[in-house]
Amino acid sequence: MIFTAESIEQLSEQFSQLPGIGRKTAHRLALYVVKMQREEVVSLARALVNVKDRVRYCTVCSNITEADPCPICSNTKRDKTVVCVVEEPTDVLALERTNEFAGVYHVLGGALSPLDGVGPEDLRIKELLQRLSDSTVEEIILALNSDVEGEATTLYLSKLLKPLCMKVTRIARGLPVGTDLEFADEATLSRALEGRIAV
Amino acid sequence: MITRTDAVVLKSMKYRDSSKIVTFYSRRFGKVKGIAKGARQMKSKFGGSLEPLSTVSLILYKKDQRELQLISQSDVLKTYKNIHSELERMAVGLAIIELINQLTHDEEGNDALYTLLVKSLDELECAHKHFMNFFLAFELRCASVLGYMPSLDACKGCGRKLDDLVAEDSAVFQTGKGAVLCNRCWQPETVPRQGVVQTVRSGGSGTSSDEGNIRVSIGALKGLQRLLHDPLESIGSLDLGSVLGNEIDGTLRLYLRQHFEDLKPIKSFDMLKRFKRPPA
Ligand SMILES: [Zn+2]
Ligand SMILES: [Zn+2]
Repeated sequence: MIFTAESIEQLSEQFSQLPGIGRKTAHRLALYVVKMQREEVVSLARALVNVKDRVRYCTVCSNITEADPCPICSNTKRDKTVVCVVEEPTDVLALERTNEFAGVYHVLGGALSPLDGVGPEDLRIKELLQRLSDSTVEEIILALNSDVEGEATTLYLSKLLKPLCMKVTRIARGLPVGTDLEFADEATLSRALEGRIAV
Repeated sequence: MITRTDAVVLKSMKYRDSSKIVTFYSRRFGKVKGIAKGARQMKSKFGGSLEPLSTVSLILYKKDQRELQLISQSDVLKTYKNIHSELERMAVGLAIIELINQLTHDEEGNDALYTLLVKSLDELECAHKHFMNFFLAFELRCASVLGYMPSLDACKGCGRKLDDLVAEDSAVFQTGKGAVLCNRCWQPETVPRQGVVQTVRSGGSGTSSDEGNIRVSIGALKGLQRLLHDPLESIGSLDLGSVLGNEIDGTLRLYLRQHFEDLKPIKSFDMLKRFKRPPA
Protein backbone atom coordinates (compact mmCIF):
# COMPACT_ATOMS: atom_id res chain seq x y z
CA MET A 1 0.00 0.00 0.00
CA ILE A 2 1.25 3.44 -0.87
CA PHE A 3 -1.21 5.44 1.24
CA THR A 4 -1.84 4.86 4.90
CA ALA A 5 -5.60 5.18 4.39
CA GLU A 6 -7.27 2.38 2.56
CA SER A 7 -10.15 4.53 1.28
CA ILE A 8 -7.71 6.79 -0.56
CA GLU A 9 -6.05 3.76 -2.02
CA GLN A 10 -9.42 2.54 -3.29
CA LEU A 11 -10.36 5.89 -4.81
CA SER A 12 -6.98 6.15 -6.48
CA GLU A 13 -7.48 2.68 -7.90
CA GLN A 14 -10.88 3.76 -9.29
CA PHE A 15 -9.41 6.87 -10.91
CA SER A 16 -6.66 4.86 -12.56
CA GLN A 17 -9.31 2.81 -14.39
CA LEU A 18 -10.35 5.94 -16.29
CA PRO A 19 -8.97 6.44 -19.80
CA GLY A 20 -5.84 8.55 -20.03
CA ILE A 21 -5.21 8.50 -16.27
CA GLY A 22 -2.01 6.89 -15.05
CA ARG A 23 -1.08 5.88 -11.49
CA LYS A 24 0.51 9.19 -10.52
CA THR A 25 -2.39 11.28 -11.75
CA ALA A 26 -4.81 8.94 -9.99
CA HIS A 27 -2.95 9.46 -6.69
CA ARG A 28 -2.95 13.20 -7.19
CA LEU A 29 -6.69 13.27 -7.89
CA ALA A 30 -7.44 11.12 -4.85
CA LEU A 31 -5.44 13.47 -2.63
CA TYR A 32 -7.26 16.42 -4.14
CA VAL A 33 -10.58 14.88 -3.13
CA VAL A 34 -9.34 14.77 0.48
CA LYS A 35 -8.84 18.53 0.38
CA MET A 36 -12.22 19.30 -1.24
CA GLN A 37 -15.23 20.58 0.76
CA ARG A 38 -17.70 17.86 1.66
CA GLU A 39 -20.50 19.53 -0.40
CA GLU A 40 -18.24 19.61 -3.44
CA VAL A 41 -17.50 15.93 -3.10
CA VAL A 42 -21.20 15.12 -2.70
CA SER A 43 -22.13 17.09 -5.78
CA LEU A 44 -19.36 15.39 -7.77
CA ALA A 45 -20.63 11.98 -6.68
CA ARG A 46 -24.20 13.00 -7.52
CA ALA A 47 -23.15 14.21 -10.97
CA LEU A 48 -21.52 10.86 -11.65
CA VAL A 49 -24.62 8.92 -10.64
CA ASN A 50 -26.92 11.30 -12.55
CA VAL A 51 -25.06 10.69 -15.78
CA LYS A 52 -25.45 6.98 -15.33
CA ASP A 53 -29.13 7.22 -14.38
CA ARG A 54 -30.35 9.79 -16.87
CA VAL A 55 -28.34 9.33 -20.00
CA ARG A 56 -29.54 6.76 -22.51
CA TYR A 57 -29.36 6.13 -26.21
CA CYS A 58 -31.68 7.96 -28.60
CA THR A 59 -34.00 5.36 -30.14
CA VAL A 60 -33.68 7.05 -33.51
CA CYS A 61 -29.99 7.88 -33.93
CA SER A 62 -28.35 6.01 -31.02
CA ASN A 63 -26.65 9.16 -29.80
CA ILE A 64 -26.45 9.66 -26.05
CA THR A 65 -29.25 11.82 -24.71
CA GLU A 66 -31.50 12.53 -21.73
CA ALA A 67 -34.63 13.12 -23.82
CA ASP A 68 -35.72 10.50 -26.27
CA PRO A 69 -35.66 11.22 -29.20
CA CYS A 70 -32.61 13.42 -28.75
CA PRO A 71 -32.75 17.20 -29.35
CA ILE A 72 -31.24 16.79 -32.82
CA CYS A 73 -33.73 14.15 -33.95
CA SER A 74 -36.70 16.06 -32.54
CA ASN A 75 -35.60 19.41 -34.01
CA THR A 76 -38.02 20.20 -36.84
CA LYS A 77 -35.48 22.46 -38.52
CA ARG A 78 -33.05 19.61 -39.16
CA ASP A 79 -33.13 18.00 -42.57
CA LYS A 80 -34.22 14.39 -42.03
CA THR A 81 -33.40 13.39 -45.59
CA VAL A 82 -29.66 13.52 -44.91
CA VAL A 83 -28.14 11.12 -42.38
CA CYS A 84 -24.53 11.39 -41.33
CA VAL A 85 -23.12 8.11 -39.98
CA VAL A 86 -20.44 8.44 -37.30
CA GLU A 87 -18.60 6.11 -34.91
CA GLU A 88 -19.08 7.77 -31.53
CA PRO A 89 -21.11 10.51 -29.79
CA THR A 90 -17.92 12.60 -29.63
CA ASP A 91 -17.94 12.68 -33.45
CA VAL A 92 -21.43 14.24 -33.36
CA LEU A 93 -20.07 16.93 -31.06
CA ALA A 94 -17.16 17.58 -33.40
CA LEU A 95 -19.41 17.90 -36.46
CA GLU A 96 -21.93 20.06 -34.59
CA ARG A 97 -19.13 22.47 -33.68
CA THR A 98 -18.63 23.20 -37.39
CA ASN A 99 -22.19 24.60 -37.65
CA GLU A 100 -22.15 23.34 -41.23
CA PHE A 101 -24.35 20.30 -41.05
CA ALA A 102 -28.13 20.62 -40.87
CA GLY A 103 -29.04 16.97 -41.32
CA VAL A 104 -29.33 14.25 -38.67
CA TYR A 105 -26.94 11.57 -37.38
CA HIS A 106 -26.61 7.88 -36.82
CA VAL A 107 -24.11 6.77 -34.19
CA LEU A 108 -22.70 3.27 -34.77
CA GLY A 109 -21.07 2.89 -31.36
CA GLY A 110 -17.68 2.02 -32.82
CA ALA A 111 -16.12 0.75 -36.03
CA LEU A 112 -15.48 -2.63 -37.60
CA SER A 113 -12.20 -4.06 -36.44
CA PRO A 114 -11.29 -7.36 -38.07
CA LEU A 115 -8.08 -7.57 -36.00
CA ASP A 116 -10.05 -7.30 -32.75
CA GLY A 117 -12.98 -9.39 -33.91
CA VAL A 118 -15.45 -6.48 -33.90
CA GLY A 119 -17.94 -7.32 -36.65
CA PRO A 120 -21.14 -5.85 -38.16
CA GLU A 121 -23.34 -7.41 -35.46
CA ASP A 122 -21.43 -5.53 -32.77
CA LEU A 123 -22.39 -2.12 -34.18
CA ARG A 124 -25.77 -0.41 -34.58
CA ILE A 125 -25.96 -1.28 -38.26
CA LYS A 126 -29.17 -3.24 -38.00
CA GLU A 127 -30.78 -0.15 -36.43
CA LEU A 128 -29.50 1.97 -39.33
CA LEU A 129 -31.06 -0.36 -41.90
CA GLN A 130 -34.33 -0.37 -39.99
CA ARG A 131 -34.32 3.37 -39.89
CA LEU A 132 -33.71 3.61 -43.62
CA SER A 133 -36.42 1.15 -44.51
CA ASP A 134 -39.24 3.33 -43.20
CA SER A 135 -38.10 6.87 -43.72
CA THR A 136 -37.45 9.35 -46.46
CA VAL A 137 -33.69 9.42 -46.37
CA GLU A 138 -32.09 10.57 -49.64
CA GLU A 139 -28.45 10.79 -48.72
CA ILE A 140 -26.15 8.95 -46.36
CA ILE A 141 -22.85 10.59 -45.47
CA LEU A 142 -20.24 8.25 -44.07
CA ALA A 143 -18.10 10.28 -41.68
CA LEU A 144 -15.85 7.66 -40.14
CA ASN A 145 -12.28 7.85 -38.91
CA SER A 146 -9.54 7.53 -41.48
CA ASP A 147 -7.88 4.57 -39.76
CA VAL A 148 -8.10 0.95 -40.87
CA GLU A 149 -11.21 0.37 -38.74
CA GLY A 150 -12.97 3.42 -40.16
CA GLU A 151 -12.05 2.37 -43.68
CA ALA A 152 -13.31 -1.16 -43.20
CA THR A 153 -16.58 0.26 -41.88
CA THR A 154 -16.90 2.68 -44.80
CA LEU A 155 -16.30 -0.13 -47.30
CA TYR A 156 -18.77 -2.43 -45.57
CA LEU A 157 -21.50 0.18 -45.30
CA SER A 158 -21.15 1.49 -48.82
CA LYS A 159 -21.54 -2.06 -50.12
CA LEU A 160 -24.55 -2.61 -47.87
CA LEU A 161 -26.28 0.69 -48.63
CA LYS A 162 -25.70 1.12 -52.36
CA PRO A 163 -28.44 -1.36 -53.36
CA LEU A 164 -30.94 0.70 -51.34
CA CYS A 165 -30.86 3.31 -54.11
CA MET A 166 -29.93 6.36 -52.14
CA LYS A 167 -26.98 8.64 -52.50
CA VAL A 168 -24.06 7.36 -50.41
CA THR A 169 -21.13 9.71 -49.89
CA ARG A 170 -18.08 9.73 -47.68
CA ILE A 171 -16.26 12.70 -46.25
CA ALA A 172 -13.05 13.61 -48.04
CA ARG A 173 -9.75 12.48 -46.58
CA GLY A 174 -6.95 14.88 -47.12
CA LEU A 175 -4.62 17.48 -45.74
CA PRO A 176 -5.33 19.10 -42.41
CA VAL A 177 -6.04 22.81 -42.93
CA GLY A 178 -2.92 24.91 -42.46
CA THR A 179 -0.37 22.26 -43.41
CA ASP A 180 2.22 22.49 -46.15
CA LEU A 181 1.97 19.98 -48.98
CA GLU A 182 5.69 19.23 -48.79
CA PHE A 183 5.42 18.02 -45.20
CA ALA A 184 2.44 15.73 -45.75
CA ASP A 185 3.14 12.02 -45.46
CA GLU A 186 2.65 9.75 -48.45
CA ALA A 187 -0.45 8.00 -47.14
CA THR A 188 -2.28 11.28 -46.55
CA LEU A 189 -1.12 12.81 -49.79
CA SER A 190 -2.09 9.84 -51.93
CA ARG A 191 -5.58 9.83 -50.42
CA ALA A 192 -5.93 13.56 -50.87
CA LEU A 193 -5.07 13.04 -54.51
CA GLU A 194 -7.57 10.23 -54.78
CA GLY A 195 -10.34 12.38 -53.30
CA ARG A 196 -9.68 15.38 -55.57
CA ILE A 197 -12.72 17.34 -56.80
CA ALA A 198 -13.39 19.49 -59.86
CA VAL A 199 -12.97 23.24 -59.36
CA MET B 1 21.23 3.27 -30.36
CA ILE B 2 19.60 5.03 -33.28
CA THR B 3 18.83 2.52 -35.95
CA ARG B 4 16.89 2.18 -39.16
CA THR B 5 14.91 -0.75 -40.56
CA ASP B 6 12.06 -1.48 -42.97
CA ALA B 7 8.96 -2.79 -41.28
CA VAL B 8 5.30 -3.67 -41.71
CA VAL B 9 2.80 -2.28 -39.19
CA LEU B 10 0.91 -5.15 -37.51
CA LYS B 11 -1.08 -3.38 -34.86
CA SER B 12 -1.65 0.13 -33.67
CA MET B 13 -3.11 0.97 -30.28
CA LYS B 14 -4.13 4.32 -28.92
CA TYR B 15 -2.08 5.27 -25.90
CA ARG B 16 -2.88 8.09 -23.50
CA ASP B 17 -4.31 11.18 -25.16
CA SER B 18 -2.11 11.62 -28.18
CA SER B 19 0.27 8.69 -28.62
CA LYS B 20 0.20 5.26 -30.16
CA ILE B 21 1.81 1.97 -29.29
CA VAL B 22 2.65 0.20 -32.51
CA THR B 23 3.72 -3.38 -33.22
CA PHE B 24 5.87 -3.94 -36.31
CA TYR B 25 7.39 -6.87 -38.07
CA SER B 26 10.76 -5.49 -39.12
CA ARG B 27 13.39 -6.83 -41.47
CA ARG B 28 16.31 -6.40 -39.10
CA PHE B 29 14.87 -7.07 -35.66
CA GLY B 30 11.81 -9.25 -36.25
CA LYS B 31 8.88 -8.17 -34.12
CA VAL B 32 9.34 -4.81 -32.43
CA LYS B 33 6.97 -2.78 -30.32
CA GLY B 34 7.37 0.95 -30.07
CA ILE B 35 5.76 4.11 -28.85
CA ALA B 36 5.08 7.00 -31.21
CA LYS B 37 4.60 10.12 -29.14
CA GLY B 38 2.04 12.59 -30.45
CA ALA B 39 1.08 10.27 -33.32
CA ARG B 40 -2.62 10.98 -32.94
CA GLN B 41 -2.34 14.72 -33.23
CA MET B 42 -3.60 16.21 -36.50
CA LYS B 43 -0.23 17.60 -37.48
CA SER B 44 1.83 14.65 -36.28
CA LYS B 45 5.00 13.93 -38.25
CA PHE B 46 3.90 10.28 -38.42
CA GLY B 47 0.87 11.09 -40.53
CA GLY B 48 -0.88 7.96 -41.69
CA SER B 49 2.23 5.80 -41.55
CA LEU B 50 1.37 3.88 -38.40
CA GLU B 51 -1.81 2.19 -39.54
CA PRO B 52 -1.86 -1.62 -39.85
CA LEU B 53 -0.79 -2.83 -43.32
CA SER B 54 1.56 0.09 -43.94
CA THR B 55 5.07 -0.76 -45.05
CA VAL B 56 7.42 1.81 -43.61
CA SER B 57 11.00 2.84 -43.19
CA LEU B 58 11.46 3.14 -39.46
CA ILE B 59 13.93 5.03 -37.32
CA LEU B 60 14.08 3.77 -33.74
CA TYR B 61 15.90 4.61 -30.56
CA LYS B 62 16.46 1.01 -29.67
CA LYS B 63 17.61 -0.45 -26.38
CA ASP B 64 17.81 -4.21 -26.27
CA GLN B 65 16.57 -4.61 -22.71
CA ARG B 66 13.61 -2.35 -23.34
CA GLU B 67 10.28 -3.85 -24.30
CA LEU B 68 8.91 -0.65 -25.77
CA GLN B 69 11.19 1.19 -28.22
CA LEU B 70 10.91 4.87 -29.05
CA ILE B 71 9.82 5.49 -32.62
CA SER B 72 11.59 8.54 -33.93
CA GLN B 73 10.46 8.54 -37.54
CA SER B 74 8.29 6.45 -39.83
CA ASP B 75 8.06 7.01 -43.57
CA VAL B 76 5.59 5.16 -45.74
CA LEU B 77 7.20 2.97 -48.40
CA LYS B 78 3.98 1.52 -49.81
CA THR B 79 0.37 2.55 -49.33
CA TYR B 80 -1.44 -0.50 -50.79
CA LYS B 81 -4.30 1.44 -52.29
CA ASN B 82 -6.28 -1.60 -53.46
CA ILE B 83 -6.00 -3.39 -50.14
CA HIS B 84 -7.50 -0.31 -48.53
CA SER B 85 -10.34 0.08 -50.99
CA GLU B 86 -11.86 -3.40 -51.04
CA LEU B 87 -13.25 -5.08 -47.96
CA GLU B 88 -12.36 -8.69 -48.78
CA ARG B 89 -8.86 -7.80 -49.89
CA MET B 90 -8.39 -5.78 -46.72
CA ALA B 91 -9.62 -8.61 -44.48
CA VAL B 92 -7.16 -11.02 -46.12
CA GLY B 93 -4.32 -8.52 -45.65
CA LEU B 94 -5.28 -8.09 -42.00
CA ALA B 95 -5.45 -11.88 -41.57
CA ILE B 96 -1.88 -12.12 -42.87
CA ILE B 97 -0.52 -9.59 -40.40
CA GLU B 98 -2.61 -11.07 -37.59
CA LEU B 99 -1.05 -14.47 -38.24
CA ILE B 100 2.52 -13.21 -38.29
CA ASN B 101 1.82 -11.26 -35.11
CA GLN B 102 0.71 -14.49 -33.44
CA LEU B 103 3.49 -16.71 -34.76
CA THR B 104 6.43 -14.45 -33.96
CA HIS B 105 7.63 -13.45 -30.52
CA ASP B 106 10.93 -11.84 -29.71
CA GLU B 107 13.19 -13.77 -32.03
CA GLU B 108 15.87 -12.09 -34.13
CA GLY B 109 15.09 -10.65 -37.52
CA ASN B 110 14.26 -13.21 -40.20
CA ASP B 111 14.95 -11.89 -43.67
CA ALA B 112 13.10 -14.72 -45.42
CA LEU B 113 9.99 -14.18 -43.31
CA TYR B 114 10.05 -10.44 -43.85
CA THR B 115 10.45 -10.89 -47.59
CA LEU B 116 7.57 -13.39 -47.62
CA LEU B 117 5.34 -10.96 -45.72
CA VAL B 118 5.99 -8.02 -48.01
CA LYS B 119 5.79 -10.13 -51.15
CA SER B 120 2.45 -11.58 -50.01
CA LEU B 121 1.01 -8.10 -49.44
CA ASP B 122 2.44 -6.88 -52.76
CA GLU B 123 0.80 -9.70 -54.67
CA LEU B 124 -2.47 -9.38 -52.76
CA GLU B 125 -2.47 -5.73 -53.81
CA CYS B 126 -2.12 -6.62 -57.50
CA ALA B 127 -4.34 -9.71 -57.65
CA HIS B 128 -7.65 -9.65 -59.49
CA LYS B 129 -9.48 -12.41 -57.65
CA HIS B 130 -9.27 -15.33 -55.17
CA PHE B 131 -7.84 -13.09 -52.47
CA MET B 132 -8.32 -15.79 -49.85
CA ASN B 133 -5.60 -17.89 -51.53
CA PHE B 134 -3.04 -15.37 -50.37
CA PHE B 135 -3.86 -16.07 -46.75
CA LEU B 136 -3.79 -19.85 -47.23
CA ALA B 137 -0.48 -19.61 -49.09
CA PHE B 138 0.90 -17.34 -46.39
CA GLU B 139 -0.07 -19.78 -43.64
CA LEU B 140 1.77 -22.60 -45.39
CA ARG B 141 4.81 -20.60 -46.34
CA CYS B 142 5.07 -18.90 -42.97
CA ALA B 143 5.04 -22.30 -41.25
CA SER B 144 7.67 -23.46 -43.76
CA VAL B 145 9.99 -20.53 -43.13
CA LEU B 146 9.65 -21.16 -39.40
CA GLY B 147 10.82 -24.74 -39.86
CA TYR B 148 7.66 -26.73 -40.57
CA MET B 149 7.53 -27.24 -44.30
CA PRO B 150 5.23 -30.14 -45.12
CA SER B 151 6.25 -32.59 -47.81
CA LEU B 152 3.18 -32.98 -49.98
CA ASP B 153 4.34 -34.10 -53.39
CA ALA B 154 4.40 -37.87 -52.83
CA CYS B 155 3.57 -40.67 -50.40
CA LYS B 156 6.24 -40.84 -47.77
CA GLY B 157 5.99 -44.64 -47.64
CA CYS B 158 6.24 -45.75 -51.27
CA GLY B 159 7.14 -42.55 -53.04
CA ARG B 160 4.18 -42.58 -55.42
CA LYS B 161 3.41 -39.07 -56.65
CA LEU B 162 0.09 -37.28 -55.87
CA ASP B 163 -0.87 -37.56 -59.55
CA ASP B 164 -0.69 -41.35 -59.27
CA LEU B 165 -2.93 -41.34 -56.21
CA VAL B 166 -5.90 -39.59 -57.85
CA ALA B 167 -7.78 -42.87 -58.30
CA GLU B 168 -7.63 -43.44 -54.54
CA ASP B 169 -9.60 -40.25 -53.86
CA SER B 170 -7.88 -39.45 -50.57
CA ALA B 171 -4.77 -40.00 -48.51
CA VAL B 172 -3.70 -39.54 -44.91
CA PHE B 173 -1.96 -36.32 -43.97
CA GLN B 174 0.16 -36.65 -40.85
CA THR B 175 0.06 -33.12 -39.53
CA GLY B 176 2.69 -33.89 -36.89
CA LYS B 177 5.25 -35.02 -39.43
CA GLY B 178 3.98 -32.93 -42.31
CA ALA B 179 3.91 -36.05 -44.47
CA VAL B 180 1.44 -37.81 -46.76
CA LEU B 181 0.75 -41.56 -46.66
CA CYS B 182 -1.23 -43.35 -49.36
CA ASN B 183 -3.88 -45.97 -48.56
CA ARG B 184 -1.47 -48.84 -49.17
CA CYS B 185 1.13 -47.49 -46.82
CA TRP B 186 -1.28 -46.34 -44.13
CA GLN B 187 -2.29 -49.22 -41.86
CA PRO B 188 -6.07 -49.16 -42.02
CA GLU B 189 -7.11 -47.72 -38.74
CA THR B 190 -9.99 -45.34 -38.76
CA VAL B 191 -8.79 -41.91 -39.63
CA PRO B 192 -11.61 -39.46 -39.58
CA ARG B 193 -11.98 -36.68 -42.09
CA GLN B 194 -10.76 -33.41 -40.75
CA GLY B 195 -13.28 -31.70 -38.56
CA VAL B 196 -14.12 -34.98 -36.87
CA VAL B 197 -10.56 -35.06 -35.64
CA GLN B 198 -10.97 -31.60 -34.29
CA THR B 199 -13.91 -32.58 -32.08
CA VAL B 200 -12.06 -35.64 -30.86
CA ARG B 201 -9.09 -33.49 -29.91
CA SER B 202 -11.03 -30.75 -28.18
CA GLY B 203 -12.93 -33.45 -26.28
CA GLY B 204 -9.60 -34.55 -24.90
CA SER B 205 -10.02 -38.19 -25.89
CA GLY B 206 -8.37 -40.14 -28.72
CA THR B 207 -5.00 -41.78 -28.55
CA SER B 208 -2.03 -39.55 -29.07
CA SER B 209 -0.64 -41.58 -31.96
CA ASP B 210 -3.81 -40.94 -33.97
CA GLU B 211 -3.79 -37.29 -33.14
CA GLY B 212 -3.17 -35.08 -36.08
CA ASN B 213 -3.55 -37.83 -38.68
CA ILE B 214 -6.33 -36.76 -40.98
CA ARG B 215 -7.81 -37.98 -44.19
CA VAL B 216 -7.58 -35.34 -46.91
CA SER B 217 -8.76 -35.46 -50.51
CA ILE B 218 -6.08 -35.71 -53.19
CA GLY B 219 -7.54 -32.52 -54.68
CA ALA B 220 -6.91 -30.66 -51.44
CA LEU B 221 -3.36 -32.03 -51.19
CA LYS B 222 -2.67 -30.88 -54.73
CA GLY B 223 -4.14 -27.47 -53.87
CA LEU B 224 -1.90 -27.25 -50.81
CA GLN B 225 1.09 -28.25 -52.90
CA ARG B 226 0.41 -25.43 -55.36
CA LEU B 227 -0.24 -22.88 -52.62
CA LEU B 228 3.15 -23.82 -51.21
CA HIS B 229 5.26 -23.94 -54.36
CA ASP B 230 3.63 -21.92 -57.16
CA PRO B 231 5.09 -18.46 -57.65
CA LEU B 232 3.16 -16.04 -55.42
CA GLU B 233 2.27 -13.82 -58.36
CA SER B 234 0.14 -16.59 -59.84
CA ILE B 235 -1.66 -17.57 -56.61
CA GLY B 236 -4.53 -15.19 -57.42
CA SER B 237 -5.38 -17.13 -60.55
CA LEU B 238 -5.64 -20.45 -58.73
CA ASP B 239 -9.36 -21.29 -58.59
CA LEU B 240 -9.85 -23.69 -55.67
CA GLY B 241 -13.62 -23.40 -55.42
CA SER B 242 -15.42 -23.20 -52.08
CA VAL B 243 -15.49 -26.91 -51.20
CA LEU B 244 -11.78 -27.45 -51.75
CA GLY B 245 -11.03 -24.03 -50.28
CA ASN B 246 -12.81 -24.98 -47.06
CA GLU B 247 -11.08 -28.35 -46.86
CA ILE B 248 -7.70 -26.71 -47.35
CA ASP B 249 -8.50 -24.06 -44.77
CA GLY B 250 -9.52 -26.71 -42.23
CA THR B 251 -6.46 -28.84 -42.95
CA LEU B 252 -4.13 -25.88 -42.57
CA ARG B 253 -5.69 -24.87 -39.28
CA LEU B 254 -5.03 -28.32 -37.87
CA TYR B 255 -1.52 -28.35 -39.31
CA LEU B 256 -0.63 -24.98 -37.83
CA ARG B 257 -2.19 -25.75 -34.49
CA GLN B 258 -0.17 -28.96 -34.37
CA HIS B 259 3.07 -26.99 -34.58
CA PHE B 260 2.14 -23.71 -32.94
CA GLU B 261 0.20 -24.76 -29.88
CA ASP B 262 -0.87 -21.36 -28.66
CA LEU B 263 -2.21 -20.28 -32.04
CA LYS B 264 -5.59 -18.64 -31.63
CA PRO B 265 -8.24 -18.34 -34.36
CA ILE B 266 -7.42 -15.60 -36.88
CA LYS B 267 -10.18 -13.08 -36.25
CA SER B 268 -9.74 -11.16 -39.49
CA PHE B 269 -10.11 -14.35 -41.49
CA ASP B 270 -13.28 -15.35 -39.67
CA MET B 271 -14.54 -11.83 -40.32
CA LEU B 272 -14.62 -12.59 -44.05
CA LYS B 273 -17.56 -14.87 -43.37
CA ARG B 274 -19.23 -12.41 -41.03
CA PHE B 275 -19.04 -9.69 -43.66
CA LYS B 276 -21.03 -11.83 -46.03
CA ARG B 277 -23.93 -12.37 -43.64
CA PRO B 278 -26.64 -9.71 -43.30
CA PRO B 279 -26.23 -7.90 -39.96
CA ALA B 280 -28.71 -9.45 -37.54
ZN1 LIG C 1 -31.38 11.12 -32.01
ZN1 LIG D 1 2.44 -45.18 -50.31
